[in-house]
Amino acid sequence: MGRVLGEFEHLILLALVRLREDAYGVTIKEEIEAQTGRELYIGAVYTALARLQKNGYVAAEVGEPTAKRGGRRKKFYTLANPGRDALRQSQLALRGMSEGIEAELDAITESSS
Amino acid sequence: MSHPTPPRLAHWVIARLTPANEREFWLGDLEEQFADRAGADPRAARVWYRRQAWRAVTHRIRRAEGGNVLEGTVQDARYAARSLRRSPGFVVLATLTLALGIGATAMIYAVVDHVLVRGLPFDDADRLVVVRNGYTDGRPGTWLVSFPDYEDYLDAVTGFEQLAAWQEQSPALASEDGAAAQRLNAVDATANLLPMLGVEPILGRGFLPEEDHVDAPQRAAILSHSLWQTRFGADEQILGQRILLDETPYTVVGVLPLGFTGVTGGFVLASQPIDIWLPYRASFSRGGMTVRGLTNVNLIGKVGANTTYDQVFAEAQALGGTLDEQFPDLRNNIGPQFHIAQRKAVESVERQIWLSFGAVSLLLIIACANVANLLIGRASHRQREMALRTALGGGRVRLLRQLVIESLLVAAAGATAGVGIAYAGLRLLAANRALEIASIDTVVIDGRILVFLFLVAAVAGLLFGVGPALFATSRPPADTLRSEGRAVTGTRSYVRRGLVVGQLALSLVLLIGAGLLGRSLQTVMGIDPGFEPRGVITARIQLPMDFVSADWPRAVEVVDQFTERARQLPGVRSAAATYQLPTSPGWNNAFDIDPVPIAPVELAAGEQFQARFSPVTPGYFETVGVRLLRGRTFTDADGVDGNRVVVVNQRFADMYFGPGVDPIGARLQYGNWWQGGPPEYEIVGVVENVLFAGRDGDTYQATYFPHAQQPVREMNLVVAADGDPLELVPALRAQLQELDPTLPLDDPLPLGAHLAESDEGRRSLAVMLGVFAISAATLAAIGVYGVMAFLVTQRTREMGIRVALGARTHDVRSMVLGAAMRLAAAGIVLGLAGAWLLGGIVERLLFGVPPVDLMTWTLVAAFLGAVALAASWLPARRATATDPMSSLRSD
Repeated sequence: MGRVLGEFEHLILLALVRLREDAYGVTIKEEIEAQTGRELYIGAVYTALARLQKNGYVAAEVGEPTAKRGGRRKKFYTLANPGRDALRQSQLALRGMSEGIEAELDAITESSS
Repeated sequence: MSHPTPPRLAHWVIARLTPANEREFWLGDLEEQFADRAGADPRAARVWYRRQAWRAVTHRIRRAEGGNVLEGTVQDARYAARSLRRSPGFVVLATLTLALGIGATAMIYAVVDHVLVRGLPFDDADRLVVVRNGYTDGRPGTWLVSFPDYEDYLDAVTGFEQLAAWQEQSPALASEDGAAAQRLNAVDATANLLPMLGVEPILGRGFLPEEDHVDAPQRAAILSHSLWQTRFGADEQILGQRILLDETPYTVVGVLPLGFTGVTGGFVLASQPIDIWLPYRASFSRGGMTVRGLTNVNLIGKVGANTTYDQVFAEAQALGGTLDEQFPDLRNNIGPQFHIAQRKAVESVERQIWLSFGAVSLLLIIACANVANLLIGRASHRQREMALRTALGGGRVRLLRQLVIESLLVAAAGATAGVGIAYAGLRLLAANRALEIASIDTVVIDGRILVFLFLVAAVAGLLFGVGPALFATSRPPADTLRSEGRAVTGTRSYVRRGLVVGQLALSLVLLIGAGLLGRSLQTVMGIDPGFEPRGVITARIQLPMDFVSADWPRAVEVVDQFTERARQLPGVRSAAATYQLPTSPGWNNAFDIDPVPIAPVELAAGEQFQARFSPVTPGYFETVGVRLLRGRTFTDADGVDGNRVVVVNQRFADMYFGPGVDPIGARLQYGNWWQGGPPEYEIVGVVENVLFAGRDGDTYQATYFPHAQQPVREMNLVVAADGDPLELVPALRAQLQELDPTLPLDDPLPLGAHLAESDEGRRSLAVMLGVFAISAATLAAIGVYGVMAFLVTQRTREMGIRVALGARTHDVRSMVLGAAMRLAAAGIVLGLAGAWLLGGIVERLLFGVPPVDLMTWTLVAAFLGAVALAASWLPARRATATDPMSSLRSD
């Protein structure tokens, strides 16, 4: 039984699922920025990814250098199996916590939007 | 064209703050985004990138894991503060020690910054030149120029952007309510002087060109801030008001800013704070504006931005040559002297300031050594704590960092307290007019000085913190834990003793410096100035200029009547008046001697003899105790209708007639610019020499004339009385008020005070260095005490064994004292070597004492030895007081 994911880690793992093959620093950051509306520093994304990688939740693979990046390579991230489990756990926890209170949650979301 | 690149500095910052193994990807991502944004708006992209650099900084700081910087530091600081709180004795001692060192350093640095770094507080101060006259053939001498000279400069010398003239005056400001008039320090200045210096009125305006003119519609006046405050209650309605100066109406047109006193040292601008500024050509100085021979005008010019000092000087030299040809009667080999105002202002005080700065730097080093010593002592008590923490996984770097933070905290506390010391110290310096710096009371502790102070503290904190921290963390933990907390002396003890020896040596250097200056002062004080100041009071009376030129006999009468009234006061032994006080260097007048004597002095063609000039009234020599050597002094018969007579001093006689030659009966041909042809004066007496420029000054050839035959505008009353002569002041004031209510009595002071004033610079420097040196010796004593106490604690066991084996208390005590004496001896030897090396620095400030003065050296060395002995007395007593059993059990 893994630990419960932090909010930011949870968001990153979800971003990896959404981005499939194209998950690297810029796309992950932009995906989260688009959904949460808050601006991130790239280092924050990498710091979290490094932690996730250390836990074995994500796997990384280095791509080819491009001119646009000043001749630097990209580092692509994919969801590893423990990451999948952790994500499932967190999702289940969220879902469980929401069950039976959908009406109230809807009311909260409505009123705040 | 390639794609735009991100801002370089921001890029560098980000790269620095990114972990090496990830750097490529972070930077790649950032550059990719930058490229996308630059496609739309390059400027916005650069702004964005720079913001990323800032975020890199905050990210790095906030990051909770890995190489966390700030939070760990905050944690360490908290820990350090907690551990410091547990040893308040250490903290108080270290803080006070540092406060002393840092505060004194900041205080003197404030002076260095004010006087030497910032320089004159004027616009383009480095281009300001004071213009005077001197000989072109290499003879020494410097004097002022005449107003016609100034006007020629304006025409002929084009290289000055501005050239201004000024002259000091001292009119009396009439009061509105019938009270006594107030003597002011005034400057008659050409209209361009204040604008050239960049001084702008805070109220009203400067002088208009038409106001600086003989036909000025009104006489304008600009008030100093302080006169405006004290005399006119800071009334903003003052503009346009009329005031009476020497009975002449002036109209106030402006008020100058606070802090501009006109006193900046050197030749600029005046020796006393200026109360009021008047336009030159419309004010008191106008009377002499057409007299070529009246050299009483100060000139200051600003060298044009597009020309050079040398070019302007060449122009001035050419003018000097022309004037020599035009006025052969007045000028012979006379040419311009340019004095760079900035240099002139500091040259007399520079040495004293650097000497003081050197002294406080030594004090600071001693203070640092003391704190380092305290820290090492503390570290040995904490070995177990450190060892335990290392054993429990605290990295050495982390421990080191914490210890260094601890010492930085102590340094910060010392710096904070040091601000107070620097502030109080500066007040003391200003109150004592220390270092002979004219503008010392405008030196303040401002942001620059605070930055310096905290930088010094930080450097000091690292200096004394890192070493002990390295020591504290250097031993492998297992060793320490095994040794059961018994601290190990070894290297550490050598270092501590080395520090103490260094402290003693540096203190000795300071003590010797202060001692030499003190001995110089003592030597100077022992010199007979050639007069007797005891029981004599002086006060000045100045007659209005218009009054005097119109009615010389009346001027003489006022002085005589006032002197006579003073003589009648109870307790007065004698009273007289003199133009120059015996303490004043005065000025020279030229004369010829008839018949020309066989003078040891060779005169160039057209040149005249020079001597100090002072009219005096009968009874002057007797009142101030100047002895008569030959002939007679003046009597009431030497009046305006009597034979013209003069008294000379011994030096005059020796110089112009030769030693042993009687000059009585010889005649001087003596003229004044306001008196037409040269009347002849017969030498009737010779008096002893007086040291005019203070006791460490030289004598000078002098002539004394009867005031009735050489009347002047300004005379000093001298009154010898039984008891405290200062008690006469109210009576003297009342007498003068009765005689002429428009005349204020100026500067009543004991004659001794004038004399002391000339010793003041020497005294204040000696006292200041003395304070530094005693502080240093105190710190060194604390150091000795600390090390000896430490030694005794470390060796308690050994001493216990010795006593148990039959050693007497005497042996134990001599063992401790002997160790202390070895330290003291080493420190003294090193210190004497240092003093010998540094002797040249103080040599020029000494008087009658060589830098290697056996007496001073011996006394100081003995004193320091005694201090070291006293400091180790307590530890020695403690050592002998130990009960052998308890000391053996102490482990």
